[in-house]
Amino acid sequence: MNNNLSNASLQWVLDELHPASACGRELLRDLRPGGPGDQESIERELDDVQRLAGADAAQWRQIARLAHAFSLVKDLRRTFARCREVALGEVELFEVKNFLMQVGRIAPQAAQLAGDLGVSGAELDPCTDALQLLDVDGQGTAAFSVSSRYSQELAAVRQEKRQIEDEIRRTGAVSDDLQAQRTAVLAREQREEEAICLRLSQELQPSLNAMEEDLRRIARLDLLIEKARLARTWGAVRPQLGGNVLRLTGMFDPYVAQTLRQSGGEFTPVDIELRRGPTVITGANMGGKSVALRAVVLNALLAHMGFFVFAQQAEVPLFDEIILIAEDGQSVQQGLSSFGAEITALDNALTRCRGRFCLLVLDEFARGTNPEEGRRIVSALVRYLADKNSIALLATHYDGAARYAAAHYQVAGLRDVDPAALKREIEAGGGFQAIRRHMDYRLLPAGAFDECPRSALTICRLLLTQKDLIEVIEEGY
Amino acid sequence: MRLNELAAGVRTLSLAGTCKNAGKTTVLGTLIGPPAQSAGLALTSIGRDGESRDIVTDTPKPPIYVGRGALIATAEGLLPLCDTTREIAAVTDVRTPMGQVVVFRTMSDGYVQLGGPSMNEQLSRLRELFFELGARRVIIDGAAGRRSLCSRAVADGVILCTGASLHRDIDTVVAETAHVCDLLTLPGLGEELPMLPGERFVLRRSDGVCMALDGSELARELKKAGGAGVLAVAGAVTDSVVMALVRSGLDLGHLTLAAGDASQFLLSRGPLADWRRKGGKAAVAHTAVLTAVTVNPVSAYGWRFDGQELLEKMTAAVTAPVFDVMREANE
Repeated sequence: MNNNLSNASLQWVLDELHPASACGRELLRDLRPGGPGDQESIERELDDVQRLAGADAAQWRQIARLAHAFSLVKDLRRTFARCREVALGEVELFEVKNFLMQVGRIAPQAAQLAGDLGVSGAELDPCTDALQLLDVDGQGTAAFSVSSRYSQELAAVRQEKRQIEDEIRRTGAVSDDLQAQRTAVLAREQREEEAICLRLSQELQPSLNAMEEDLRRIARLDLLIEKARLARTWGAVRPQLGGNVLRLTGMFDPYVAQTLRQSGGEFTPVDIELRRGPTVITGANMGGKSVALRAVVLNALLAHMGFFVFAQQAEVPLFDEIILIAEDGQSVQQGLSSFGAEITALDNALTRCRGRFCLLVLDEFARGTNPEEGRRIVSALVRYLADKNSIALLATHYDGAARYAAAHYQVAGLRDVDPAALKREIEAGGGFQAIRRHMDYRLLPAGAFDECPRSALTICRLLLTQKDLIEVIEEGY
Repeated sequence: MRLNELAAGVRTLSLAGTCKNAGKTTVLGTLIGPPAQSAGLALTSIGRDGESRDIVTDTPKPPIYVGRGALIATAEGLLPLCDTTREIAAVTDVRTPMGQVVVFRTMSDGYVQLGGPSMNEQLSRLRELFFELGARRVIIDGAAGRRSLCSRAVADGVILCTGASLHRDIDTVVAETAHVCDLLTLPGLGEELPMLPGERFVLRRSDGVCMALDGSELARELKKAGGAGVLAVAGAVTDSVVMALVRSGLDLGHLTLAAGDASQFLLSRGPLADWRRKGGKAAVAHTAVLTAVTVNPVSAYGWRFDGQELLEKMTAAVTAPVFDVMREANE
């Protein structure tokens, strides 16, 4: 499934997650949105995010401790795979032993988590047989050696080696004779150590599946904790999955919200309801149409990846695919003109939508061509999408595009603002930010025949300081 | 006092060389001592070391023989070349071309090949790990021309190894070595190094005001700024930097040239002497402690000096105690 991972807000959200373990980070990297067939597994994931997100302060401290313990767990999948093929070396056996000791430490904590909060998949198998095998001296320390306890032959060889060493110590020099004896003993020691490593690797075989499952569970728990932490931080909610209506109430984009906050602004939450067929958003320039569109894509994607969504309430159908076509798409870099690239992307998207249930989002489609043709093309596209199975969402400037839409929203924009007062504020040094401050970013349901607000002229009047140019522009209106 | 007695009092010691074949590995062998004294000793190297031939000059090198109870940090790929019985004690996250660096404890006597981390920050962490694992003394075998590990952030003391391989002329060997000692023992600045983000040259005037100076117009900018205070250099202090100031006719009497540590002073003898003749001072933020200097009168390239003469000349030229490698090793 194409997943728009180039979406900057999604990337920001994923970058906010910091799984403690290497395998957790890998799982995060490989995270892909699920589809209609994955409802059960996504629901299970959301169940667990909900349980963790609902932890009280004391439980959350416990969860944080568990996450810290995860940071000490090495990703040994390659070692486990190698163990099936060849004898592991001493360093690998050391790492397996350490892994087992970590799992042994984590297992009770994880089990408690499962008991207290009901988080699934938190039971870990400490593989005590395997640990005993590698801790033959019963020291319970992290160190590993091919111990003399593994074989009488090894103990005997090392005894001989010790005698030669003592002789070298006594004489203070390595004579040729001692050197030769030492070389022979070293060869026997190495042979025996290799035989023992092979034997240990074979005896680990029955535990390999369990160890791999432990690693998978740790990775999942690690990532789950991060998803829950994100939900707690931002007050995200569990999406209700399924159905065929995408309904988001009080929705926002945390990346944009944070950026706005840094410049003294605030994200206006968006309410939107999308049904099969096309929905069109029109409205003022600078009115946040693109932001709203991308927030829809972000939250839909997150729901498909088993995250809580950034909204007060959310119903999200499970799509076969979520597709965003925006001018900043990568195809522009492939050397096509922006319009050509858009058309190619659209063609590709429509092919993928055929016979499937997709969310197709287009931001200012055909803005790069002449407005007269652009208007016709977008109207035609809306009409074409009207009887298609997928849910489409288009933001556009073009009049008439909404006529064939299943629903039409308009950005509230600057309609209730006194232009003269705003102009004074801008000239007093408020600049661009003043427009932002007065812009009403809410999406309001509009009629099919409502025209696009003539906001371009308003923006020109507000921002242009060349009075003579404004006059010329007004003459043409 | 013998070299190993002197060194025994230094908790973390690093070995640096003025050149290849300065006898560094021989000194290391002397410091390690007989195998019965290995317990509690921790060893690593900032490059591959301990192989029987020097991989740069292809000359025979003395192997490193340790006793049981030592901690060795080396690259995983060098383990097959270590023949002590061993216990893996830790696997670090430091990666080298020969695999990740592991720490093992020797369970028997034997030969080891060292190949540890090369960055100061990694060495500091490795040193801490050594102490956690029970080391009482740490020796870091450095590389020729790598003085950065002399900083006290890494080591409590430095042994500088030098010898006939540095130059055919004995007086040049002495003078060059004395110069390295000079740089290694530059006085501490006594205050934090003035730094401004992204700036190579920063002047802190005596009134405490810091200002960035344009490197291409350093002398003129300095003069404009009053020409007095601490001139901090981010990165290397090179001959060209110093000579430009020396030749500018600027009064250097109230100027201290400063850098983070001795490794950043890449100054030749002449320019440093000129700088000082004009009254300029030099200092580092992180000082190093020069524990000793060792000399090797035998060059790997076919010539040799009189051991006694080299020892005497060197002793006269440097403040640190000087030892003859060969004599120390054979006594």
